Amino acid sequence: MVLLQIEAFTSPRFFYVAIGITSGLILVLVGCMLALLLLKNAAQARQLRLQYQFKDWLVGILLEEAVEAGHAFDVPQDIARLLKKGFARRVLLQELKSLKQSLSGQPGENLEKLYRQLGLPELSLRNLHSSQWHLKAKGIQDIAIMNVPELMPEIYPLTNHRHPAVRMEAQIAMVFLQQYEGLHFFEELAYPLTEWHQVKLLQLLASQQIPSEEVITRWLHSSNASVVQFALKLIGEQHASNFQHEVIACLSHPDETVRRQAISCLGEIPSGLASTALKKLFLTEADKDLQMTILTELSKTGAPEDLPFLQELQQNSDADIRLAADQAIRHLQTQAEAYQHLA
Amino acid sequence: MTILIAEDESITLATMQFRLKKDGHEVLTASNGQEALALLKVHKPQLVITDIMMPFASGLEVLTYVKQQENPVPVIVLSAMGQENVVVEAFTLGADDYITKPFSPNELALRVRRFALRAS
Amino acid sequence: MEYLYHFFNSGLLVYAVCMLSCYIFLGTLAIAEAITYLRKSKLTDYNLLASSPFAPSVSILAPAYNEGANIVENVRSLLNIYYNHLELIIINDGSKDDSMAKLIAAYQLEPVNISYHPRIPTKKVKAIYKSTNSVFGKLVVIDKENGGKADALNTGINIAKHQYLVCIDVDCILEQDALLKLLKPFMESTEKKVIATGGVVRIANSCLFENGKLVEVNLPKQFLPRAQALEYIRAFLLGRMAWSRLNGLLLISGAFGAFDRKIAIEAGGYDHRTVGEDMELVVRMRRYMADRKLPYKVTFIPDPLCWTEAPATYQILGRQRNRWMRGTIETLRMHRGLFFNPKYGLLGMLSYPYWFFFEFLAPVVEFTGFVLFVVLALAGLINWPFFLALTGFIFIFGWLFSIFAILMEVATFNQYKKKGEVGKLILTAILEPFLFHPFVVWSSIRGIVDLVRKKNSWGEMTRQGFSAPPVAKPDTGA
Repeated sequence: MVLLQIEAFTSPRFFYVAIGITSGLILVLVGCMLALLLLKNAAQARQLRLQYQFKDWLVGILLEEAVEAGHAFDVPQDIARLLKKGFARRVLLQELKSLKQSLSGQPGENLEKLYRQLGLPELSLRNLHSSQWHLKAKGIQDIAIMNVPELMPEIYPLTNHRHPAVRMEAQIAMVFLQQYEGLHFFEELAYPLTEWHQVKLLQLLASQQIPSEEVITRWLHSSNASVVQFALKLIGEQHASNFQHEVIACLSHPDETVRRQAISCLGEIPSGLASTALKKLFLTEADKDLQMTILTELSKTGAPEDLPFLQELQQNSDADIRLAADQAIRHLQTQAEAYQHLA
Repeated sequence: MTILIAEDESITLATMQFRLKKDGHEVLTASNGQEALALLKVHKPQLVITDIMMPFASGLEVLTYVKQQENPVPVIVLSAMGQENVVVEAFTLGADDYITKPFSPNELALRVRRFALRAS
Repeated sequence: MEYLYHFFNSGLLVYAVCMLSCYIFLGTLAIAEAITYLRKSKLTDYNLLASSPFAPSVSILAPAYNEGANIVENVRSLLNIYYNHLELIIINDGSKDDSMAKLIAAYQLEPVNISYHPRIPTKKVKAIYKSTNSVFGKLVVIDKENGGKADALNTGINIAKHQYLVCIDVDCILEQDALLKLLKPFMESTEKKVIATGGVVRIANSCLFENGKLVEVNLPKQFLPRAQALEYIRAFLLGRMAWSRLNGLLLISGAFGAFDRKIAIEAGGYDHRTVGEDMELVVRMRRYMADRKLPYKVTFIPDPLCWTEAPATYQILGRQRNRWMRGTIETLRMHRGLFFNPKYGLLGMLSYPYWFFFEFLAPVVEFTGFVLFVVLALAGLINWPFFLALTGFIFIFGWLFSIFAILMEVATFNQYKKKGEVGKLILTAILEPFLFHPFVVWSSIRGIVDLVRKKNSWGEMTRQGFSAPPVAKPDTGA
């Protein structure tokens, strides 16, 4: 029976059919390829042409000085005609977004005005309401970059969206529009923040004043470990030594990443208290990698009173730890010598 | 004064060009690092304004190149990266000024004026 | 003879059907993964990482052996990578030429005293150099005794201080944002730890370079590199993309990949006993994680990030493929415990068997098939209509797969934009089964023969240096 079936498949006719189908498929694929190439080239050429056509007009608008509130920018007829097409509007929106990220001051305000004047927020809003994640994320990004604060209530619930790209853009948008204020989504955050995402948020907040002690303390006690981690990064970056005690408390956090962050954070806000806490943690910490991190931070911030502790470690059974202790001691000594020179 | 501007976003570039021309400067433009390096080999601008993140060669390479020449001309670095470490690195490599994006073209023009006064 | 004939027919058929279904499956996965990646990539500003003080720290490891001719230029090109937390470690693996002298002169190097604890045993380090010029502050040059590529990389791993390792061939040309893209996956994982990320290697022949930067992409003008360009597209865009979707990636190209340093060290570093050290390390790191029941991921970035010169003569290509085959077999043998071992999940049940049956066995099957065909033909036992139909089908399916890969390339990264380049690529796909593939099969068979012979005569294989062509092994090449 089985043999018979195989016979049926091994008859040449079966293969003729298969060859026919496969060849057909190849032709279809080649056809798709050609069509795709033509489309891609055409779209690219069109985009370049549009950028060229928009250029002088946009430069003129960007450099317009002190525009009054009710003033509308001049849209020449040929540009207005171009902007009837969806494609041209998308290209323009893209262009405005990238300009907004490189120009501020009057040109920045003019860009926002033009965005509204041409009704482009509608385009962004349509994307925002799309069911596809990548469009949704793009819509959110537009709204943040072009600064449309009135849409914030629409974005806020998306900070807990189940698609990582959407919730990340939404969270970024909140911070973009409201800086630290925007971070109140932390209170209800159901997902962890990835490292990437934390870096992005920190970059947006880099030039802002650190929020009140109360807010930071609340984050440090968050049940979401990544929020605690984020707060520690913030404290470290801003050298906010007033949070010393809270940071030291984080050294006993059950999550390894939080402990690690707390160690490096203490390296940024050094004090006698911090180094005592680090030394204490070293003795109880089971993770060798964290122990090494502690030694690195101690060597960065160390003071003469750390010497006995480090000297003891030179007898440790682990070669890596001995080496790190050696390095820390040498670092301390060169520092001490430098001070003597100064004195 | 002749100024070379290297910036990959074409309309930003055009805006800077237009604004500085209004102040009576002569402006050469490059849309990537490679082009800027090529222009520098032929022309002798008195001031270079460069973005950091550009295709083919970064602004820091342009900066390094300018500062390796005899009688190096001033360089203004323009970048979206405002973090301390980048700014410090740019100044270590010899940058004369650092402007963080988004920036205002008027502010740029004022800073350029300072260099122009010093040059004349 | 009759039995042989039947075996030949049905055996070949079953194998072909399995292989075809695997390929179709991989193709579908690859599309899904590519679409997701591109959509995500469009929303991302990669420059964020270049300057952030919270970006992960990276050590680039570039081993060099007798590269004196271009070493200074190559290092300059690598130094131009813009990344904040970076150290660039060049490992001179006992070159017999003037590489070291040239580096010392060009970068004002001076021996320094760095104490470190060699976690992986290696050949002796003669000296470690750093530049006295602060412009080259990121550069570290290690001068060591010759021990082969794996040994050189291990020395680099021992001395590297940063969190992630990026291993590359010193003559590779990287795109401006290569590091940024390669490192992002490490920062995106939450529940699964990313232990390694692989990058795409593209063929640089006929491309235009200026100051160590790629300025113009061209399809290679010679046939052999062009066939390899097609092969790499198929392997990277279809094969690895799909495996990465499944989290079953076994190979990260030795020419461009990133690893978590701590895990690479704990897994034991590169194994210098195999010529396939890049594949072997990934398999061992995966085992390390699986044995400890730690959730992990190996990811892959499909953007063209790294460009390398491909062998342009049959002789060099033959040597390369011979070595790849030996590397594959050695790795498979070292980790034979994975074979259909449910303890290792997908790794044991799918990735390993796939490599065993289609990467290792495919050339063997093809070669045996050919020999059997000759024997049967001489004995007059061939059923010609059937045979021709089967062969025709296999060829045409191979073409379909290649065309599909080209379509994916056009739809995604579309690197070959010049007029007629895609047409040439299609033509290459049609010619490849006649002019390229048989040679690759033959070289692989010779690799197997070499391995068996050397194994018998002087046991362990050792290798001196690695002046051989770039190691950038693609998979699923058929």
